Amino acid sequence: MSNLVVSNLVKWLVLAAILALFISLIEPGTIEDMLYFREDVSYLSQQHLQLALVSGLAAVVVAIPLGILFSRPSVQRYAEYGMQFLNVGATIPTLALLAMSMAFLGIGFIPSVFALFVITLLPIVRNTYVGLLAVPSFMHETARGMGMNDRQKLLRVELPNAMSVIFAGIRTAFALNVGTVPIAYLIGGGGLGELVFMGIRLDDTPMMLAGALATAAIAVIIDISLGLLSMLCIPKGIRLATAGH
Amino acid sequence: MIKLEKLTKVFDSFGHTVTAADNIDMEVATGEICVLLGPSGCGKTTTLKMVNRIIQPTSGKVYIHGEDTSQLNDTQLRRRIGYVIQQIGLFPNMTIEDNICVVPDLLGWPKDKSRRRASELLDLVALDPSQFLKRYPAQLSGGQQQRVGVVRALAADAPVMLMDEPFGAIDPVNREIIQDEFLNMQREIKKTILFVSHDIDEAVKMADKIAIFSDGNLLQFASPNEILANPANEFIQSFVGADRAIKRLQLFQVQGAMTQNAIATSANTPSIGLNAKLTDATAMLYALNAEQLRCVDAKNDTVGYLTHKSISNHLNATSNG
Repeated sequence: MSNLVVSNLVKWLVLAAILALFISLIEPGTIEDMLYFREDVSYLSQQHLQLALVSGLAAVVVAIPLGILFSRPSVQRYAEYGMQFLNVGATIPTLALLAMSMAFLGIGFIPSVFALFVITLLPIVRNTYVGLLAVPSFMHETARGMGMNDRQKLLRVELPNAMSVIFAGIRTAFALNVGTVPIAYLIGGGGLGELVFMGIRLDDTPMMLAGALATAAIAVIIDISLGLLSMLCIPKGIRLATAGH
Repeated sequence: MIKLEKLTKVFDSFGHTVTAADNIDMEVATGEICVLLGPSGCGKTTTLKMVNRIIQPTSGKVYIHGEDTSQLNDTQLRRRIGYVIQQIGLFPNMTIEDNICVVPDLLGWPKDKSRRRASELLDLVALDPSQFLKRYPAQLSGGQQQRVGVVRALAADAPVMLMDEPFGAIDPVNREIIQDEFLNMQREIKKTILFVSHDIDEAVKMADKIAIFSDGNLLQFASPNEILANPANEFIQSFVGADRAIKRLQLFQVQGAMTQNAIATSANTPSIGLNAKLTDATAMLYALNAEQLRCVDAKNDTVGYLTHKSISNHLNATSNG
């Protein structure tokens, strides 16, 4: 617990230091020029967040049951094929995925969300699957020996014990997702990518930076929120057990 | 009472079959501890796990208090049987209280009843409920965890317990302590217990009956005294060890073996209590190079004498049943 607090604190300090360094390095007047874009930033941030959260949450909702399904004994021998299929999906560069999504679904919000969803899916499925398989067999045996049925065993024993691995997958997945959202602009998804790409094309540094800093801020906020959420979702006993090692 | 009738398990591995347990017949009386003993791979664990169907029997029946358990479904059956394994298997995500209450919760007991029960059970193994109920397994030592593992199996007051090398992972000193605690507890709770072990000393200490297994067969099923005094074949003889006569000494107390005839009365004869084990008495005789010990009752009055001869007389007298 205190470990997490400390690591969060360190994260903030590092960020503040980078920000301070950054401000001291840019040309004077840039900050004022950036403030000119604050309405764009607030509008596009909403779009940006929407892209990340809708695709991310949809991925969580699909990926966890999929990972659970793969880990069931009756499905396990096919699970590796399924994972290979998803692995191939993960090797495709995100830009190519966006392009393919556009080829099938056209431009706009929907194809962007779909591509982001696909990108986010794999790490969560994989970690759910691996996390559940890592629950030691004696714990399965005890749960069965005490008279739990399969559903009770999954909900009371397997998922809580796999939760820290699952959450690691969710954080990785969201990092990938949030890193890809700015490019979704290229297929008409909107978001802060608009400011970044326009800024680059027009050689307008304040515009570019306004978009980039906001993008960075959203990424950090999402990661920290997930960190806090994991504190709620990972059972205290599991956190104590892992802290002990 | 647990009764196994022609219980058999045949595993099919890559085309050829392995009989892990071959027509096991035995009957354990209510309130007794039966230790299933043998080298690894002998079928003792398979036999134990067929009772709660963690391993499905190939054929044969298990009766608990006369009821044919094949009529029950798996979860019903298991909730009626306490189960303790070597790895303890406390669930790290649950508090000690919730761990103990797993089966009562599955059975739908009211919360206040099950939580009260958890508190009583912790008291039983000398773990202060106010301190331990809300802790997590990771915050307990190995010995404390195993105590919780044992009382968890008692939570729903199942009449029957299966224990698979329950004290195997505990260091020797604490193992002795936990074994003693468990025997004291058993004197009150009188569960019918199947207990797997590969340790002859543990078996002699814990068992009312010992079942010796080898290669999937039940070779001998008898009291510890009978097994040590009259091993049924050479395998058992070598398994229980050449010192089996010495092991028998711990099965008897001084009061059974004493005689009224002192060799020669002398004030300096060392004294020993009536409830001491013959093992300790013999150790004293040799350590003090004494010919006899004076047996004293609680009021320190001499009630008899223990001599080398009276000990061996007692061993001989008890060697036939």
